[in-house]
Amino acid sequence: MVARELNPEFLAEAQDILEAIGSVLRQFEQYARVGQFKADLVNQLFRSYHSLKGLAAMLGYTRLSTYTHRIEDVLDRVRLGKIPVSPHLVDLLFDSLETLQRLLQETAETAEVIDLDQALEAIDRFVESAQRRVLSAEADPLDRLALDAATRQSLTEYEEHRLREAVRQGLRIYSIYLRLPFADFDRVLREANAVLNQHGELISTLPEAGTDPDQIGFRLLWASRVVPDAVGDLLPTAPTRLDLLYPPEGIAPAEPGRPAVEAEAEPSEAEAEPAFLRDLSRSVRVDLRALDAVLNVVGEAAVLRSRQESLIQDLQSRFPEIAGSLAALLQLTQEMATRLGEAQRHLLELRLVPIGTVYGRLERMVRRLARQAGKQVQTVFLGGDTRLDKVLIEHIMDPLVHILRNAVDHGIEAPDERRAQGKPETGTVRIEAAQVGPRIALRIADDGRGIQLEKVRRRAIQMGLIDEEAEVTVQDVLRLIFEPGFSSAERVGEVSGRGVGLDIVKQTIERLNGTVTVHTEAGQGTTFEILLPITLAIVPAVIVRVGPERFAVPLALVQEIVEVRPEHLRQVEGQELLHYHEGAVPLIRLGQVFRLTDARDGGFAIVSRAGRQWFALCVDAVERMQEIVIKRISARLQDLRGISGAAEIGEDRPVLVLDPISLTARVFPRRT
Amino acid sequence: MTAGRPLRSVMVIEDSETMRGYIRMCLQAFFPGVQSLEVPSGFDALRLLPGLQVDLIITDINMPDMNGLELIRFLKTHPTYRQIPIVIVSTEGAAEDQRRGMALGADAYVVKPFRPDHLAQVVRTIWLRYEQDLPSMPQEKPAWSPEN
Repeated sequence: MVARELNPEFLAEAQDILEAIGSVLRQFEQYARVGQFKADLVNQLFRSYHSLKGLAAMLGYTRLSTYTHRIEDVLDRVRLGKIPVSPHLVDLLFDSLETLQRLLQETAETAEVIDLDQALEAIDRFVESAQRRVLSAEADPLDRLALDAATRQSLTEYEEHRLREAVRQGLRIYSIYLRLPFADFDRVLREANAVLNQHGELISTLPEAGTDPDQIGFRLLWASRVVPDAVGDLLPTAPTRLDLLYPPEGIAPAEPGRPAVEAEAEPSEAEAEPAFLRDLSRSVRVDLRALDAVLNVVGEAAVLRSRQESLIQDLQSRFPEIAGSLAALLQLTQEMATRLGEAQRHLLELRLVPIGTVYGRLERMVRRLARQAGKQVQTVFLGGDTRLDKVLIEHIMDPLVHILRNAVDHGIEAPDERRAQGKPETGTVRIEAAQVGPRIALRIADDGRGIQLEKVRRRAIQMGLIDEEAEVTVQDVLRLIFEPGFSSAERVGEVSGRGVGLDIVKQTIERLNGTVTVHTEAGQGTTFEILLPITLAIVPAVIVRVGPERFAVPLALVQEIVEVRPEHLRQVEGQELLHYHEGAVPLIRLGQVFRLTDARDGGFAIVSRAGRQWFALCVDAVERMQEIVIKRISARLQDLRGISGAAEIGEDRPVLVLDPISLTARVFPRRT
Repeated sequence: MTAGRPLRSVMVIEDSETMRGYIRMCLQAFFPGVQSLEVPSGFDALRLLPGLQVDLIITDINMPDMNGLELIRFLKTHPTYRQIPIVIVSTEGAAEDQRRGMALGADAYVVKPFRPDHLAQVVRTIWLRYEQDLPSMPQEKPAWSPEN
């Protein structure tokens, strides 16, 4: 079927639409809370749902389109004034985003995850209770406007309604003629539209045919309180004609005494242009795989170049008589290295997206969790323009969701408990992102009760993780919450963590070459701090040699590199241990694990850890540090435990990249 | 009666990228060699039209910046563009808006969701009608002739 080929495009566009709805909805909410109707926002929402419905129907996603249609219908009634704006409407719309997200997920997974009938009933109940009794038998206010038939025909039903509404409210209705140079009419017009919407409501934009091919005319219908004399000054270019269509001359408009030019009160940044209104023609959507393919080619070119360089150096030593030419050649190839480096940087830049794009999703989730838990939680987001790898953002979602869930479920107290402690009833969860050197720091902080250290300690004793007598520091206790299977939750409700502990959070983050730490203070709250590389594509690594083979170990997974001396080794129950600081860690001889060498002499040990398990990897030599591009290895190869991929390092063959976490699973299969 | 000139270029005005892609696939499947000129808004259409030879226009109604009806009114009152047939592609909820579009001079409307062959059928019918009604398309016969 022709349509299904468009699936990836559909999913990408649908996701964009949902993000856009989320961002408009947050602006809309600020007005709706005070019962204020903001026509342009309602219309933007309507249009977004409308587009999504059309797309879903086109591709045959009936469940998705049915649901979207119903919400669109609600918004249509809102924009036609049949349903009033209210906090309930806002809740319905936020819920709809959640539902849509899951329905969208269904389209990718072909499994039904949502009870559609139930979701539709919720909409019906809302409409039933919210429907406004429509008063009829009223003379059409539009008849009071001097509008020619053709102009009236070109208004959509909605625009007609807005015009009617404006007359009812006693606003002035202007017809503004603008004649603009063809070369940049759209820029000027968008500028004019923005100003007009700030000081009123632009209802219609009618292009007018003219005789001069270098110009194009537009007639704008605009409803506003601004007095006729002030209109010209607002516009970026003087109108060729300005008519007041309503009220008829001599009749004072409603509410005289208002300032001539009055901008409506705007919440801060409320007018930020939603993504879907931006200039679409200047951007293209690119599949990340296509980007990776180009990045690979550039990487390979860089490898070829470095081989070229060593070849030239070789020639220089053998043919001193052409040293001049070879030096020039060398300079060229080195310049090429700079260019390739630039290309690589630009390509990596393209993978970066602002983390703010997922803030909407997180906020909706917190809102829903808080409602389920009967708590009041507000979210504060900072640093939304911090950019990181698109793939990283997707991987980091699960850990973030988990941490937020903990914050709402265990951190933030119930309203009465907070009040009793002199805290504001509404708890706050702050999510903050910032770039710190080559890394991204994400901080998730709540102002709840803090982690109950004593409870954690008792649970750890129960689980046999620590001795009852053991002296444990605060830091030790906090480390325990990341232990596999650790959970101190006393009850498992809808809100608590579905059996996934913070150990998964930690493992996921470590797989992304990141780290996670936690700080907590009784009664004050808990803060998680996640440090991540900006991109996954290029990571600094240590190149090591084992027998005849080389391996790369991502630097983020290296705690320390130490020399292995025979006096530091001992055997306990068949396991070789390396003396390390005050204790000992198991030594894994890579030569034996990968059957490369049986040598048992010294070399170096790379100290690393997977969760609680510390270990040392014994290698023959540590050669250098290098940035590598990790490529996946086909899953058809058996038993890849211990290997996360392969990388070109400028030699004849690619090297394997070690993954210490899965390596321990291979070496210590029965430990947890 | 000749079989008529084949449909060569169609301008598609639609703010959804996926929908533009779908319409392009529909057209290319049924009109070999057709060129589809896709733009995301009425503004872009106005900007590009003077430099293009467009045989037929397919437009959505509900779009940002300028709605499809406003665009249709402009095109159908324009001395040059008035001859270009227009097909509205819009959703079932917008019956009144479709009616208005037809009243402004659009030639047909197709309700989303539609099947590729349905759109093709409508486009073919409209195109044949134009080819037969307007034998004096400028590129086939000059507006002036020595006999006049």
